[in-house]
Amino acid sequence: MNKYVEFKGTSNGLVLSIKPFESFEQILEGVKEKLDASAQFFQGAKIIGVEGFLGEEKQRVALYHLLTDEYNLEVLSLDPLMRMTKSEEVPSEVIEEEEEITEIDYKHVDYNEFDTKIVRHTLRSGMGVAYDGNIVVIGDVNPGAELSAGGNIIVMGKLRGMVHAGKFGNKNAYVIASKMLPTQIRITNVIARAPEGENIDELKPEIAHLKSGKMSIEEL
Amino acid sequence: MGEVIVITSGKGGVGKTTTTANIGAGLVNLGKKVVVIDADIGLRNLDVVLGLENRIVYDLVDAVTGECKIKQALIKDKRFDGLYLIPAAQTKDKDSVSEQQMVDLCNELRETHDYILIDCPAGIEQGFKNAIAGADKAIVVTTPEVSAVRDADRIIGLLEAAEIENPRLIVNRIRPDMVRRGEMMDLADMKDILAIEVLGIVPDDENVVISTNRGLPTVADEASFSGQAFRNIALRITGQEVPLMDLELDNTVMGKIKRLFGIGK
Repeated sequence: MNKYVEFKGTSNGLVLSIKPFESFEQILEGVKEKLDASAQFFQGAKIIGVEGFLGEEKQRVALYHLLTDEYNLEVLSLDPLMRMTKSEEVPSEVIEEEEEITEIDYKHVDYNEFDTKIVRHTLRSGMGVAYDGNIVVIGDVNPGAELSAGGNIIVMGKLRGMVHAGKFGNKNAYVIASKMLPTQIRITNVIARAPEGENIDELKPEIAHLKSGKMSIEEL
Repeated sequence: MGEVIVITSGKGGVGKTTTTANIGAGLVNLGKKVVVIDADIGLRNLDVVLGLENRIVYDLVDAVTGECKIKQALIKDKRFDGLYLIPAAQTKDKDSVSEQQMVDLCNELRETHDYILIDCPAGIEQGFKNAIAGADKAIVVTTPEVSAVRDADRIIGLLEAAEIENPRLIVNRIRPDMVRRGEMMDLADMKDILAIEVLGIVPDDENVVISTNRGLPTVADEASFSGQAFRNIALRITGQEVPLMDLELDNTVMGKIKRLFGIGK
């Protein structure tokens, strides 16, 4: 069996599939072999294109004559099928799509249903996470570490560092921590500090959010 | 096969060099062969603390660049049999050594010694990167100050990023009286933030200043409270379990007499 040539049936007609070959003779032989083997099946068949690399124009003509003159097949085209669609139609669509994606109105996104980044380790001094969506930290946020999120920030541990929620101006953003002792807490452009001198040992989950434009920290 | 331990802190002046010298001498007293390397090129100190300054011929830069054999750069400490120092170069800067050169040096030294202690420079720049390049383990030194703890936290993060897992903590210069009055961070506060294993605690002791100036590690002083702390740390490094010291102990002469009679603490 010749391994270079294959005929594939589609709803519109047959497609000649060509594997990489060494000499064009192999292709012609392969075609002959296939067509001779089941001459009846190919009676009046229609070739609509070629899949794979065919080589020079001269070879394409030779193949055309073989198919039409010797086997009486109807040949609509011997142009490469895949390449045509790829090179001519696709690019214009892609460019249009890219233009559509650019604008997300981060200010008015419902962050409760938005992308979330989960950080599964303690953030030490000098480490930071900035993300357009929400941030969840499973671990502590130490002094000197910084978090900034377009949406909400949830710390499942002790929050001692700097956090900024709603950095694009989302006033509904909130910060939740198992123990709320931040160096500084920011929601949109409102900045607050943790109350001084208060240091309780047990974990007490609290939420910080804006109430009529002012920072409010309450028990969860 | 020896173990390479870097001693680092981030912040300067917390006692890295003193700690390195004392742990080195402490390990030697336990019968180990130890090399201490001063990686603080340009600001060398470890030789002074060990009292070996006047014996320097070759230094770290000479050793890694092939100016001399590594063996020639090892200065033998006559008081502690088995303790060797590779001093830092004083007239060069941190860029005269590369990370790969440090790795090669450590790998060569670990063939012939039990412990290689690297005294890391302060900061997080190239000198720090060189010092940790060849290390298997790390000891982070801090003092009970907010700024030192903050820097220690940063250093632990950088060590973890460099895949030196589970660094251990030494809290230096604790003053029990101040902790008791609530004027100084206590161990629990530091453990809470740093969340790493505590290798040892060292009380503030003016004898350390005296012995450092004399060039003799405190660890050799049997009567010294801080020397005891460093001896315990050396034991823990070798894998023995020693409970942390009770710093509340009244260690004055009167205190000892009181303890003898079963009164006081």
